[in-house]
Amino acid sequence: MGIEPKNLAGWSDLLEQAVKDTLIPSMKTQEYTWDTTDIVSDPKRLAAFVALSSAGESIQVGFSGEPSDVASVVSQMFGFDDLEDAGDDYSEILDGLAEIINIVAGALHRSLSSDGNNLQLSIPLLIHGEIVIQGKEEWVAHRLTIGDNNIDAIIIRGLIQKQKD
Amino acid sequence: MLGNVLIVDDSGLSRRMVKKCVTSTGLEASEYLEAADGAEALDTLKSTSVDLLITDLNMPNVDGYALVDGIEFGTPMAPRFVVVISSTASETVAEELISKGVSAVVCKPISPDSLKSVFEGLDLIE
Repeated sequence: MGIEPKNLAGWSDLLEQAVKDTLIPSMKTQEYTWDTTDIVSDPKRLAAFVALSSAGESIQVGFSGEPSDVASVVSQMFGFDDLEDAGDDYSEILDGLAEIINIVAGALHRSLSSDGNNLQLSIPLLIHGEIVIQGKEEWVAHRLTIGDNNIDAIIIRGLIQKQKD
Repeated sequence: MLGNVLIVDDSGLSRRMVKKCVTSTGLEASEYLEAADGAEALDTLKSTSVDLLITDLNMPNVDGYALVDGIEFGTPMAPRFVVVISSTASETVAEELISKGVSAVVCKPISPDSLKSVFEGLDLIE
Protein backbone atom coordinates (compact mmCIF):
# COMPACT_ATOMS: atom_id res chain seq x y z
CA MET A 1 0.00 0.00 0.00
CA GLY A 2 2.98 2.33 0.59
CA ILE A 3 2.86 5.62 2.36
CA GLU A 4 -0.32 7.70 2.52
CA PRO A 5 -1.28 10.38 1.65
CA LYS A 6 0.17 10.14 -1.85
CA ASN A 7 0.32 13.88 -2.58
CA LEU A 8 2.43 16.49 -0.81
CA ALA A 9 -0.56 18.81 -0.40
CA GLY A 10 -2.11 16.16 1.84
CA TRP A 11 1.11 16.01 3.84
CA SER A 12 1.15 19.80 4.17
CA ASP A 13 -2.33 19.75 5.70
CA LEU A 14 -1.37 16.97 8.11
CA LEU A 15 1.87 18.72 9.10
CA GLU A 16 0.09 22.01 9.74
CA GLN A 17 -2.42 20.20 11.95
CA ALA A 18 0.40 18.48 13.87
CA VAL A 19 2.13 21.87 14.34
CA LYS A 20 -1.15 23.34 15.62
CA ASP A 21 -1.61 20.47 18.06
CA THR A 22 1.91 20.29 19.46
CA LEU A 23 4.09 23.35 18.84
CA ILE A 24 1.70 26.29 18.74
CA PRO A 25 0.14 25.75 22.22
CA SER A 26 3.59 26.27 23.82
CA MET A 27 4.32 29.54 22.02
CA LYS A 28 3.88 32.95 23.67
CA THR A 29 1.84 34.08 20.66
CA GLN A 30 -0.48 31.43 19.36
CA GLU A 31 -1.42 33.23 16.17
CA TYR A 32 0.57 31.98 13.23
CA THR A 33 0.71 32.06 9.44
CA TRP A 34 1.56 29.15 7.16
CA ASP A 35 2.55 30.33 3.69
CA THR A 36 4.12 28.45 0.82
CA THR A 37 7.79 29.33 0.37
CA ASP A 38 11.03 28.18 -1.27
CA ILE A 39 13.67 26.13 0.50
CA VAL A 40 16.33 28.54 1.77
CA SER A 41 19.79 27.06 1.33
CA ASP A 42 22.11 29.03 3.60
CA PRO A 43 25.21 27.74 5.39
CA LYS A 44 24.22 29.61 8.55
CA ARG A 45 20.83 27.98 8.93
CA LEU A 46 19.92 25.12 11.25
CA ALA A 47 17.60 22.28 10.30
CA ALA A 48 16.32 18.99 11.65
CA PHE A 49 14.55 16.30 9.66
CA VAL A 50 12.97 12.96 10.42
CA ALA A 51 11.84 10.32 7.95
CA LEU A 52 8.51 8.56 8.06
CA SER A 53 8.86 5.31 6.13
CA SER A 54 6.62 2.50 5.05
CA ALA A 55 7.04 -0.31 2.54
CA GLY A 56 10.17 1.15 0.95
CA GLU A 57 8.77 4.66 0.61
CA SER A 58 9.93 7.59 2.68
CA ILE A 59 8.74 11.11 3.45
CA GLN A 60 11.08 13.48 5.23
CA VAL A 61 9.63 16.27 7.31
CA GLY A 62 11.73 18.94 8.92
CA PHE A 63 12.12 22.46 10.20
CA SER A 64 14.76 24.95 9.09
CA GLY A 65 15.52 28.45 10.30
CA GLU A 66 17.97 31.14 11.26
CA PRO A 67 19.72 30.31 14.55
CA SER A 68 18.07 33.26 16.36
CA ASP A 69 14.57 32.17 15.26
CA VAL A 70 15.24 28.54 16.13
CA ALA A 71 16.62 29.55 19.54
CA SER A 72 13.53 31.61 20.28
CA VAL A 73 11.09 28.85 19.27
CA VAL A 74 13.03 26.17 21.17
CA SER A 75 13.19 28.41 24.26
CA GLN A 76 9.44 28.96 24.19
CA MET A 77 8.69 25.29 23.56
CA PHE A 78 10.80 24.00 26.44
CA GLY A 79 10.62 26.94 28.81
CA PHE A 80 14.33 27.67 29.02
CA ASP A 81 15.54 31.27 29.07
CA ASP A 82 19.23 30.61 28.58
CA LEU A 83 19.20 29.22 25.02
CA GLU A 84 18.99 32.54 23.21
CA ASP A 85 22.34 33.66 24.73
CA ALA A 86 24.33 30.64 23.59
CA GLY A 87 26.39 32.60 21.05
CA ASP A 88 27.78 30.45 18.25
CA ASP A 89 27.33 27.18 20.11
CA TYR A 90 24.27 25.79 18.37
CA SER A 91 24.43 22.26 19.79
CA GLU A 92 21.66 22.69 22.36
CA ILE A 93 19.47 24.70 19.98
CA LEU A 94 19.81 21.99 17.32
CA ASP A 95 19.07 19.42 19.99
CA GLY A 96 15.87 21.32 20.77
CA LEU A 97 14.91 21.66 17.10
CA ALA A 98 15.40 17.90 16.72
CA GLU A 99 13.13 17.31 19.69
CA ILE A 100 10.47 19.62 18.24
CA ILE A 101 10.45 17.83 14.87
CA ASN A 102 10.38 14.54 16.77
CA ILE A 103 7.30 15.68 18.70
CA VAL A 104 5.54 17.10 15.62
CA ALA A 105 6.35 14.04 13.48
CA GLY A 106 5.27 11.84 16.38
CA ALA A 107 1.83 13.47 16.21
CA LEU A 108 1.81 12.83 12.44
CA HIS A 109 2.86 9.24 13.08
CA ARG A 110 0.04 8.67 15.59
CA SER A 111 -2.50 10.24 13.27
CA LEU A 112 -1.41 8.16 10.27
CA SER A 113 -1.02 4.95 12.30
CA SER A 114 -4.61 5.25 13.47
CA ASP A 115 -5.59 5.29 9.77
CA GLY A 116 -3.94 1.91 9.29
CA ASN A 117 -0.49 3.00 8.01
CA ASN A 118 2.43 1.02 9.41
CA LEU A 119 5.04 3.77 9.62
CA GLN A 120 8.54 3.85 11.05
CA LEU A 121 9.87 7.12 12.46
CA SER A 122 13.62 7.72 12.13
CA ILE A 123 16.06 9.37 14.50
CA PRO A 124 16.38 13.10 13.61
CA LEU A 125 19.00 14.22 11.09
CA LEU A 126 20.55 17.52 12.20
CA ILE A 127 21.93 20.02 9.68
CA HIS A 128 23.98 23.15 10.29
CA GLY A 129 24.48 24.21 6.71
CA GLU A 130 22.88 24.14 3.30
CA ILE A 131 20.04 21.83 2.42
CA VAL A 132 20.55 20.37 -1.03
CA ILE A 133 17.63 18.83 -2.86
CA GLN A 134 18.62 16.54 -5.70
CA GLY A 135 16.68 17.64 -8.77
CA LYS A 136 14.21 14.78 -9.01
CA GLU A 137 12.82 14.95 -5.47
CA GLU A 138 9.36 16.35 -4.86
CA TRP A 139 9.17 18.87 -2.05
CA VAL A 140 7.00 21.55 -0.54
CA ALA A 141 7.92 24.19 2.03
CA HIS A 142 5.83 26.47 4.22
CA ARG A 143 7.00 29.48 6.19
CA LEU A 144 5.60 29.18 9.70
CA THR A 145 5.54 32.64 11.25
CA ILE A 146 4.78 32.79 14.96
CA GLY A 147 5.13 36.27 16.44
CA ASP A 148 8.52 37.59 15.26
CA ASN A 149 9.90 34.13 14.47
CA ASN A 150 10.06 32.39 11.11
CA ILE A 151 10.62 28.68 10.81
CA ASP A 152 10.30 26.82 7.51
CA ALA A 153 8.45 23.51 7.54
CA ILE A 154 9.72 21.30 4.73
CA ILE A 155 8.35 18.05 3.32
CA ILE A 156 10.48 16.04 0.89
CA ARG A 157 9.72 12.82 -0.91
CA GLY A 158 13.26 11.50 -1.39
CA LEU A 159 16.75 12.12 -0.02
CA ILE A 160 18.39 15.03 1.76
CA GLN A 161 22.10 15.70 1.64
CA LYS A 162 24.21 17.52 4.16
CA GLN A 163 26.26 19.94 2.07
CA LYS A 164 28.35 21.61 4.72
CA ASP A 165 28.70 21.45 8.50
CA MET B 1 10.98 10.89 49.61
CA LEU B 2 11.73 8.85 46.49
CA GLY B 3 15.20 7.38 45.90
CA ASN B 4 17.09 7.96 42.67
CA VAL B 5 15.36 9.08 39.47
CA LEU B 6 16.99 8.05 36.17
CA ILE B 7 16.11 10.12 33.08
CA VAL B 8 16.91 8.45 29.75
CA ASP B 9 16.93 10.48 26.53
CA ASP B 10 19.49 11.02 23.77
CA SER B 11 18.72 14.74 23.82
CA GLY B 12 20.45 16.63 26.62
CA LEU B 13 17.89 19.39 26.33
CA SER B 14 15.05 16.89 26.72
CA ARG B 15 16.66 15.45 29.83
CA ARG B 16 16.86 18.99 31.25
CA MET B 17 13.23 19.58 30.38
CA VAL B 18 12.04 16.29 31.90
CA LYS B 19 13.96 17.03 35.10
CA LYS B 20 12.45 20.51 35.23
CA CYS B 21 8.93 19.10 34.76
CA VAL B 22 9.50 16.37 37.37
CA THR B 23 10.75 18.80 40.01
CA SER B 24 7.83 21.13 39.19
CA THR B 25 5.38 18.39 40.19
CA GLY B 26 6.69 18.53 43.77
CA LEU B 27 8.22 15.06 43.59
CA GLU B 28 11.20 14.85 45.94
CA ALA B 29 14.01 12.50 44.98
CA SER B 30 17.44 11.65 46.41
CA GLU B 31 19.29 12.24 43.16
CA TYR B 32 18.63 12.76 39.48
CA LEU B 33 20.72 10.54 37.22
CA GLU B 34 20.89 10.71 33.42
CA ALA B 35 21.56 8.28 30.58
CA ALA B 36 21.79 9.05 26.84
CA ASP B 37 20.36 5.72 25.67
CA GLY B 38 19.08 2.35 26.82
CA ALA B 39 22.54 0.81 27.07
CA GLU B 40 23.74 3.50 29.47
CA ALA B 41 20.54 3.14 31.47
CA LEU B 42 20.91 -0.64 31.79
CA ASP B 43 24.52 -0.13 32.93
CA THR B 44 23.34 2.33 35.57
CA LEU B 45 20.70 -0.12 36.79
CA LYS B 46 23.39 -2.78 37.33
CA SER B 47 25.24 -0.61 39.83
CA THR B 48 22.70 1.85 41.21
CA SER B 49 19.31 1.53 42.85
CA VAL B 50 16.70 3.50 40.90
CA ASP B 51 13.17 4.12 42.14
CA LEU B 52 11.82 5.90 39.09
CA LEU B 53 13.07 5.53 35.52
CA ILE B 54 11.71 7.93 32.91
CA THR B 55 12.61 7.11 29.32
CA ASP B 56 12.09 8.25 25.77
CA LEU B 57 11.34 5.55 23.17
CA ASN B 58 12.96 6.87 19.99
CA MET B 59 16.72 6.83 20.67
CA PRO B 60 19.80 5.70 18.75
CA ASN B 61 21.74 2.57 19.77
CA VAL B 62 19.57 0.87 22.39
CA ASP B 63 16.11 2.47 22.19
CA GLY B 64 13.35 2.65 24.78
CA TYR B 65 11.70 -0.59 23.64
CA ALA B 66 14.96 -2.51 24.05
CA LEU B 67 15.52 -0.82 27.41
CA VAL B 68 12.12 -1.99 28.65
CA ASP B 69 12.87 -5.49 27.33
CA GLY B 70 16.22 -5.41 29.17
CA ILE B 71 14.78 -4.50 32.56
CA GLU B 72 14.23 -7.56 34.72
CA PHE B 73 10.92 -6.50 36.22
CA GLY B 74 10.19 -8.09 39.57
CA THR B 75 13.85 -8.30 40.57
CA PRO B 76 15.61 -5.99 43.07
CA MET B 77 17.62 -4.45 40.20
CA ALA B 78 14.48 -3.18 38.45
CA PRO B 79 13.21 0.35 39.08
CA ARG B 80 10.03 0.49 41.16
CA PHE B 81 8.39 2.63 38.49
CA VAL B 82 9.09 3.00 34.77
CA VAL B 83 7.44 5.88 32.91
CA VAL B 84 7.76 6.05 29.12
CA ILE B 85 7.56 9.45 27.43
CA SER B 86 7.01 9.21 23.71
CA SER B 87 5.93 11.21 20.70
CA THR B 88 4.85 8.10 18.81
CA ALA B 89 3.35 5.53 21.20
CA SER B 90 -0.11 4.53 20.03
CA GLU B 91 -2.68 3.00 22.38
CA THR B 92 -1.64 -0.48 21.22
CA VAL B 93 2.05 0.21 21.89
CA ALA B 94 1.21 1.72 25.29
CA GLU B 95 -0.78 -1.38 26.24
CA GLU B 96 2.08 -3.62 25.15
CA LEU B 97 4.61 -1.62 27.20
CA ILE B 98 2.37 -1.70 30.26
CA SER B 99 1.94 -5.48 29.89
CA LYS B 100 5.75 -5.74 30.08
CA GLY B 101 5.90 -3.86 33.38
CA VAL B 102 5.90 -0.18 32.42
CA SER B 103 3.95 1.90 34.95
CA ALA B 104 2.67 4.61 32.59
CA VAL B 105 3.06 5.98 29.08
CA VAL B 106 2.92 9.76 28.57
CA CYS B 107 2.55 11.50 25.23
CA LYS B 108 4.94 14.31 24.21
CA PRO B 109 5.04 17.23 24.60
CA ILE B 110 5.00 16.73 28.35
CA SER B 111 4.14 19.36 30.91
CA PRO B 112 4.35 19.50 34.71
CA ASP B 113 0.57 18.91 34.78
CA SER B 114 0.70 15.77 32.63
CA LEU B 115 3.49 14.30 34.77
CA LYS B 116 1.76 15.35 37.98
CA SER B 117 -1.36 13.37 37.12
CA VAL B 118 0.81 10.33 36.28
CA PHE B 119 2.72 10.61 39.57
CA GLU B 120 -0.54 11.01 41.49
CA GLY B 121 -1.85 7.88 39.81
CA LEU B 122 1.26 6.01 40.91
CA ASP B 123 0.97 7.44 44.47
CA LEU B 124 4.36 9.11 44.11
CA ILE B 125 2.89 12.44 45.15
CA GLU B 126 -0.35 13.39 46.84
